[in-house]
Amino acid sequence: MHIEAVQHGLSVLADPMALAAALAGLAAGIVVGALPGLTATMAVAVLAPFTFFMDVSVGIPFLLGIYKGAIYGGSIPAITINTPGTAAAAATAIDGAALARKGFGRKALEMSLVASVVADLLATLVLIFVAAPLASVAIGFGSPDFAMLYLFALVMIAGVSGSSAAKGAFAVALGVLLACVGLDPMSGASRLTFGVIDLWGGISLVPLLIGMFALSEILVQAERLGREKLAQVKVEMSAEGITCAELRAATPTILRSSGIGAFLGALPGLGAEISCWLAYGVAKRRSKAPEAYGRGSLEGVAAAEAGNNAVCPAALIPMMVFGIPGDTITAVLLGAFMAQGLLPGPLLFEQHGPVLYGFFAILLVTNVMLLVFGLGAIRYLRHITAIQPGILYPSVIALCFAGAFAVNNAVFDWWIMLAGAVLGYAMRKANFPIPPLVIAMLLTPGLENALRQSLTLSDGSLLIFVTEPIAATLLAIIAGIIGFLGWRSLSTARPPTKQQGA
Amino acid sequence: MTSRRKTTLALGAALMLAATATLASAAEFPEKPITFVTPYPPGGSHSLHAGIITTVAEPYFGQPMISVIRSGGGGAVGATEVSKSGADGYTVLFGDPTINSLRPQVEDLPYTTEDFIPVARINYSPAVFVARADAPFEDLTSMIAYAKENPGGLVYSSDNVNGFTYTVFELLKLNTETDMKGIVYGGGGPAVQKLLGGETMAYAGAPSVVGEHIKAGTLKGICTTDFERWESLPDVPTCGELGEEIIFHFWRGVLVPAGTTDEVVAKLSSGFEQLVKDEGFLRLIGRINSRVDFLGAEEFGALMAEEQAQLKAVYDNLN
Amino acid sequence: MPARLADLLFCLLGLGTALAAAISLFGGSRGAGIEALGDMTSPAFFPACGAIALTLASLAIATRSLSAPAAAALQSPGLRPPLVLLAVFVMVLLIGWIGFLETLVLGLLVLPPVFGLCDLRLLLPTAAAVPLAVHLLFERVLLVRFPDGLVF
Repeated sequence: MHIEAVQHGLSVLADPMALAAALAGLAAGIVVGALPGLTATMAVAVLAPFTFFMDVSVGIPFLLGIYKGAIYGGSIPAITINTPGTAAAAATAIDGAALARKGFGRKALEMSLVASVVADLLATLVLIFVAAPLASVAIGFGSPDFAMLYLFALVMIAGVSGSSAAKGAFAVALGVLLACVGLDPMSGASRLTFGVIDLWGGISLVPLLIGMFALSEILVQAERLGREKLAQVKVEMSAEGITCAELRAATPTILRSSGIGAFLGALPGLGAEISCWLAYGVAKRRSKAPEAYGRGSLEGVAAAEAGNNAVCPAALIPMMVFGIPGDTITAVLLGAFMAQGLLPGPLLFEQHGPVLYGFFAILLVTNVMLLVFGLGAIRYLRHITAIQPGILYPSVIALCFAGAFAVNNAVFDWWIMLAGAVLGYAMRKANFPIPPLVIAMLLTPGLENALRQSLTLSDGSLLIFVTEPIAATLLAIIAGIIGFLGWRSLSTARPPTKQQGA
Repeated sequence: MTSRRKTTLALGAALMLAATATLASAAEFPEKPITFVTPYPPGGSHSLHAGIITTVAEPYFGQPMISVIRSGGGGAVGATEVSKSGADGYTVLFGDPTINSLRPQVEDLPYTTEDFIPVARINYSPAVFVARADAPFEDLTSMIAYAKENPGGLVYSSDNVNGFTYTVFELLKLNTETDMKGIVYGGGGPAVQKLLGGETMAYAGAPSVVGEHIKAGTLKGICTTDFERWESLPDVPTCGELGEEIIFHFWRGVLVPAGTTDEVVAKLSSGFEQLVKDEGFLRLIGRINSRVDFLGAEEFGALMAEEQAQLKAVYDNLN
Repeated sequence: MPARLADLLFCLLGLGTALAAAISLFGGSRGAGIEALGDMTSPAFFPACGAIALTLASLAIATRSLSAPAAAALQSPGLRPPLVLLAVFVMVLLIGWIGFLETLVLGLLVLPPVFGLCDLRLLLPTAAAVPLAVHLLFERVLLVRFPDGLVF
């Protein structure tokens, strides 16, 4: 890190165009994230080619603004109408929507905003000060280490599974099977595709989640409307914002989740979707009041939102330092960097340090602006639920149709969406938890690939998970957690209906 | 759709009528936007090229060109969809050797190499074989020697079965009669990460991916699979210079479904020929470390036929 | 519907899915051999584990549900959720025929009454404005090409 580079970075703040572009991107991103069906990946992928012809200090901040705005924006409908705007906000919906149902929508929205901004700020500082050392740690993660990391995530998240262990296991197993559909990259064999060419690419996650979360929630609301009179459905929204005491109580959670998000972001391949669940799972395990999770815990909202937002700046680390994108969105950003003549790789910071620090400075400033504007806007956001259901829900359905198709331009994805809606609604009716299914779908590809790659490396010997130091450490932690949970469930006499199916 | 219907009608009626009908439609082509299908997810080199091509395309075709990403099955889903779309020139595939030459011959895919007509090659990248800075070999000769001494001991990062990296390593192993162990990582990103992290020793990728690492010294350039050295990597020899004639061009080209009329193909081909001379196009293509190696429909077709025969022979040799 | 029946239906769904997966993985001449179960690097290993876990979970749910005292009946969904699902199903079918924008307009004419909105002064402007807005946002701003229909 060079002083002149930082000085130049700060001077970029005087460039009104760059700031305006970042703010416009941020605002557009929040809209993109908040509209169910529109994803950050899609928006960035579509708009990236237009930035190719813009000035570097305008195009890149614009795209980064969209990326960050969209990850935050997903939490708004997650809280207000229990419909995550992006897959990364699925964990936010659990407690956020529960709070909104109790009338505390404003508290939840403000907590989500504060957690997002703080996490983003911390992760941006990580990006500025320790990008290179963190990148060299991340690059050293080998296949066995990844395999154990995925296993660790699975164990930590298992606590989210809900009331019945058998039903949670059912959802996990179904998620594993759904995730295996498609062409197996390692052998080239098509698996569970039943001769349907559209399934070769696998079950597209976004349309499925649109069906399982957004459409099934609309079905639940339709059912409620049939049972109750319209007046009863409306919840009186409290105007109460979050208090200092609540913020203080959530601070450790926010810090921990930011750390988790920043670390997972720096590891290529995990992403905000997994990070929000892991941060939520860890927070629940560490919490003094785990039973409040799922019933409207402000900490739960903070954990999930800090967990997914910290990923954004951190995910730029492997992309910029090694030219390795961790997911689709950073891959698109990599292309946008290249098209501006900023070739990601080991020489990027050396050759273009001032420009990059300029971006970082802009990211920090827009963050503060997001907080200020956000707190002002939330007053009005909580009135979303006051929209006439006859307009709100059909409009959301229209957006779902557009979003499900737009991800991969596939007519087939509408059928996936419909199947997701039927499955999601049936699971809710029969008290089957949906999060374990989604988590299993997110973790299975990474876990399977890492396990198989490890075993190919070791010619089939399982010892590779013990001889590699990082993998062995993670394995010991996993064993410790499982042992602890086993001991706790044996030592405390539990009622027959278990609270959590870990 | 329309031109196919016209042809069928014409066959039943008179040949003369058919000729005028196709000529008339070709004269007007294109009268609506052209869909440019990229069969890979956003963020790869293919979609980056597609983004650049489609943003500058309109003046050269008189109609907008719309970039459509249809990924899945390592490109097979998008290619299948294009092969089944109307042969009217309004849906074109942004193809490459794996989905158009190799895989339809060696895998059970819903389309064959015959289902596409080559229109234009935009450019190509050779593969650059690279090794970690601390790998126990310096160049191709010592790499082969190392592989011969340690059968299965040289571990390399591979992408997908029948993918770009996978194929060039198969060529290398076949040519040198060595045994190396490829770990399939499912994509270029994780493959490079595992190489840099020390899990594997070698990799082969496009110059735009490995170039910066070679310049920074984090990776050693072994050789390129081209006839000549790559301009931006003048210190990396070709594999041929070191005695191993391995040529593999990962081309990026435009294809249309079989049945498209010659007039439409010619029109598209000349449109692309002018497009690749566009100033904005050239500037961007240079920035992403790529270049132009344009080939028109005929030469491109000849090249593909040769490539398909060569890859088939290699594959038969492997089994 | 009694909760027990719902559990049993899910048990059947699980067993059916696991069976279909097993047939797809091991059936036919090109299927994997059963020894794939012992080989963690085989492409059939993970899905096979998923299928086995699904079978076990389904059986566990069924035995628990049958041995537990009769649980309360699930609340009847009423008519509205099936109506919404039917509307979405018909919309998916229609899009290929009459196009995206037209299908959305139809959907927005049919769906609001299901959610209790029958006031035409509100319904008609919504049915015109929302599909148009969605269409403009996706097709014009984000350059998505929806399947062609009769009009666009």
